[in-house]
Amino acid sequence: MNPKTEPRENLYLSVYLALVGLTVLTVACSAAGFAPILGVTAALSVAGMKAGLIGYYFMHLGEERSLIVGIAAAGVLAVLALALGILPDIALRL
Amino acid sequence: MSVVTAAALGLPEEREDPGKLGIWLFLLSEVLLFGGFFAAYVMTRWGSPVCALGAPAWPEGAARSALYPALLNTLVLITSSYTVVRALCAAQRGDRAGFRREMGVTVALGVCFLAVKGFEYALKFHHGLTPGGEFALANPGFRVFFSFYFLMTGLHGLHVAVGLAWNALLLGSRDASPERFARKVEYAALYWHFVDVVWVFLFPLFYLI
Repeated sequence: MNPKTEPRENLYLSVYLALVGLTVLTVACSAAGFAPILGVTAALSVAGMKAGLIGYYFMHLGEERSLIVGIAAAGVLAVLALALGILPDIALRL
Repeated sequence: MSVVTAAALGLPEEREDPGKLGIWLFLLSEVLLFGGFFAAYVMTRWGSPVCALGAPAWPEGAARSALYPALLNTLVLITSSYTVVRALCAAQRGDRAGFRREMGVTVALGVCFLAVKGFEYALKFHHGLTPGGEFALANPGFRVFFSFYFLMTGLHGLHVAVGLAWNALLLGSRDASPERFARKVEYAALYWHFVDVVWVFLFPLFYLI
């Protein structure tokens, strides 16, 4: 059916192990007792890396055509717009 | 009026699978749903003098009492993402036995996730850690936190249950066409990975920060 699937399975195992490693890293960062802002930045950065690995390899975004990649990018941009849109409000309250 | 097709020009026909396009558009709508809740949660934590990071009213370490069940659930969901992508590989090879094995493990891991989540909720209710509990009523930061906690983890749990039912249906599918079956598995796998991605962000926001 698909001769590409065999070598891919080795890649998927590597991605899986990387995801487990990044999960351990997230917990370790939390236990390290960083300053709150640093802790949040570290935790969300690692979460972003994990989401990127899942999207690129497991959801095959790396192999998809531009329309699908564009839909995924629209989702990411929408979340970023929501996050950036609330920054002025947060800045005024702090 | 004549229509010039790609085939007439000697070009390969490039058409997106409508099913895959549909599932990606659906996932986009889901990103917007969860994204709105995430933004509201972040604004509450960073923008409120009562609930801001480091404010004494906010539960330090959030739901630390549930860190280990949540960590276990993180590993369970990541593992299920791996097994579902292996199930897709098996379906694309036409290996139904391999598909049933990998998807069976995925479904079992999904059930495990919901069982652990149920245990975690039971602990919270037992200790009165709810938005309406006496403990939370005495402290507005906790009250807001538990409202977000139950809303977002509950909504995610609902998505896990839907994905679980979808995967279980495929497990019992008797579709005779290997190509069509592989496409169906791909749609379900995309949804399952999305559920995993949402949890990847819920875990640090509610259990670690």
